[in-house]
Amino acid sequence: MRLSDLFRTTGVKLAAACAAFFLFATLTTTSVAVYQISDDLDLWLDRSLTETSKFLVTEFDEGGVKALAESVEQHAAATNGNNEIFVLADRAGKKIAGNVDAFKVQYGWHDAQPQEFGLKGRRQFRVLGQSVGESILIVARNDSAVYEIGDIIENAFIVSSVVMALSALLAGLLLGMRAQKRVEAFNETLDAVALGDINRRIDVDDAGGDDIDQIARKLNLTLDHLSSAMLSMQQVTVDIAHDLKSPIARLRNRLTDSIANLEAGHDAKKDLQEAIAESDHVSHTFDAMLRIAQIESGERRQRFEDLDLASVVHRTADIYAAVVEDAGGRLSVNIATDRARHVFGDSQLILQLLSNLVENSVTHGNGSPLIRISIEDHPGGVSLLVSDNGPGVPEAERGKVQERFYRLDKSRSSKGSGLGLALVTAIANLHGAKLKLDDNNPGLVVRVDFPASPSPG
Amino acid sequence: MVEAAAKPKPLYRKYTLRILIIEDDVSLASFVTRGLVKEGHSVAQFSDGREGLLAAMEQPFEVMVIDRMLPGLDGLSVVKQLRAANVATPVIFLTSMSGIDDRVIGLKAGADDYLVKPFAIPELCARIEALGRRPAGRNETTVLRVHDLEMNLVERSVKRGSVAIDLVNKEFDLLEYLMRNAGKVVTRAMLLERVWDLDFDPMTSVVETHVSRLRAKVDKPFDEALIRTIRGLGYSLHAPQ
Repeated sequence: MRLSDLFRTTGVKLAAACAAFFLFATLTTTSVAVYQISDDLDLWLDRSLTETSKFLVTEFDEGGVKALAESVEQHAAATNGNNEIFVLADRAGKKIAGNVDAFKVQYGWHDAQPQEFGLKGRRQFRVLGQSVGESILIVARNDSAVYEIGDIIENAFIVSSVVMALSALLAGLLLGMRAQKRVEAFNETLDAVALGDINRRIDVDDAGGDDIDQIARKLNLTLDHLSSAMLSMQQVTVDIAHDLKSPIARLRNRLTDSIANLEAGHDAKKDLQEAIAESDHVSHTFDAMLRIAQIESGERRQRFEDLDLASVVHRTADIYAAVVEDAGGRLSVNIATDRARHVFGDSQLILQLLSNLVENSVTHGNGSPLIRISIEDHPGGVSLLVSDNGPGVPEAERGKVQERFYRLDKSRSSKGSGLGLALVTAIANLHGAKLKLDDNNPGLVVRVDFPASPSPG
Repeated sequence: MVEAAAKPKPLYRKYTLRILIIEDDVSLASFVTRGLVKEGHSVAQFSDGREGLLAAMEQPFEVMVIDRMLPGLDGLSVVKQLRAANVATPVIFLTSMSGIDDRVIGLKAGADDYLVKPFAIPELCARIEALGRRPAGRNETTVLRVHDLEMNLVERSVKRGSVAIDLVNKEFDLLEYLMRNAGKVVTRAMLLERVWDLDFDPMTSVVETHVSRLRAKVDKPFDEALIRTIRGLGYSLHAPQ
């Protein structure tokens, strides 16, 4: 990874933003602190001058001018540098004691430049002049203390800011590099999948719980779904080819036969009729496939409404009772109590589900199909059951018959498209219902467990 | 299924229809036009939505066939504009299999019938004829009569001559639909849609079974049969010729 790439990573960008934010915050708080501290220090300067002055005045009260002069000399000697000034002078301005020779006779508070005391520098002095007997006592102190503290704070601020900014950037770089590495793994995997290596997955620690791990696992799961969808698509394509090749071949044979018959001067009507029947069969298969695709797209969910399952069952019976009777059997409806059973769904589709199941039972039944449609309540909702007395489906094949084009007899010669149960499965899935095939001893019972209707009606 | 269209004698024709077809699939449209002209109808054919709409506004037609996807102006807009301009001519909307809600949208926009592509030409012809010249005031009719068959819609009773015929619910609905379309061909798909309200084609012989039961009650006991089978297409109920 190049450095320029690194600086574009999220980690580094975040770190830089954080550093800038903290710098701003530190600057603000420090300025406020310095301002307040300097304010306090000014007060402290005045107070300490007042205290010193008071103390010296007590010396005068106890020992007169002489004691005061001594004390002033002592204080003056004790100062280091030129930050403090003590002067005792007479009213005419003649110095009696003190550490400077130049001064102004001025009573009360005032601010003075160091030049006033014959000193160099730029630190301003705070001056208190007080009359003591026949003399004037001047105490002064510059604000160097204030500035020293301010300087310390300033230095500390600069050093800490630099250290902080550097460490934030460093942390960002490290984090960024780590994240970048993981993101690059994503990129590589997705590129590989896009190029056709559909089984490549992102390397992810199963125990890892951070957000990138979670995304990696989700991506892997999505890739799993995609690849299985692709596989089943391939399977379906092969199945379609297999399933449609034979009727199309038969269609062709019929047409060839009819040409031969016509050439021989025979009637070709029967062959042509059979050719039409074959083409209808192909067309039916395509219709069923399109229908399944349409249902699986979920588009029809927009048409879902609260419906009464019992009325759909009665409609089915209205349509099919006569058909089953003509096939030599009987269709009965068994609904425990005659109240409405609410399901959220598409009544046309549920009608088709029931129709397909009933038609399956008629088509695959023996001479006298006994078909029963019933509704049962189950804890989470309502169940629809269609049972018959036909040959049933062996346990091992119950999952497979729900797949497209799967037929119990391998010859693919039986009536129907091999899509009936696939359609039923698609409709059940669309409704969030569970489909279960069971033994009816003898026969087959298909159970569809619908979840309870979410709407209160 | 082509066989029925090629039937030499039209069953029971008393009228010709002026039909407008707006369809950009020219070969399909020509196929349909040829079939309709052979049946004695006159057909105007357009492939552009805007041109078709203009024609529909200016000339009187009895049935219009309008495709969903059209250059110039799409079929849905054509139907909407026709209805907005108070043109009440019956419309058959042609849709493709992919858009399932086209059907609902088409009917909502004011179409009277729809057909999903691909379809058999005789199916479209049957639907065109069913829509053309509907009997006036059909909603006020309380008694339907064909030959000696009489249906009272209020009492929900049927008699042939003086003999009362007892029909169960769906048989009554089926006969009503056949009688309302007397003299016209009614296809299996039309019956499934209108009588049973099914939007899919069952594999078993649902229509055949119910029609044969109806025949057993309406035709069998009497000398002359009224319900005819049109092979590969559907049925037609009409007086003996």
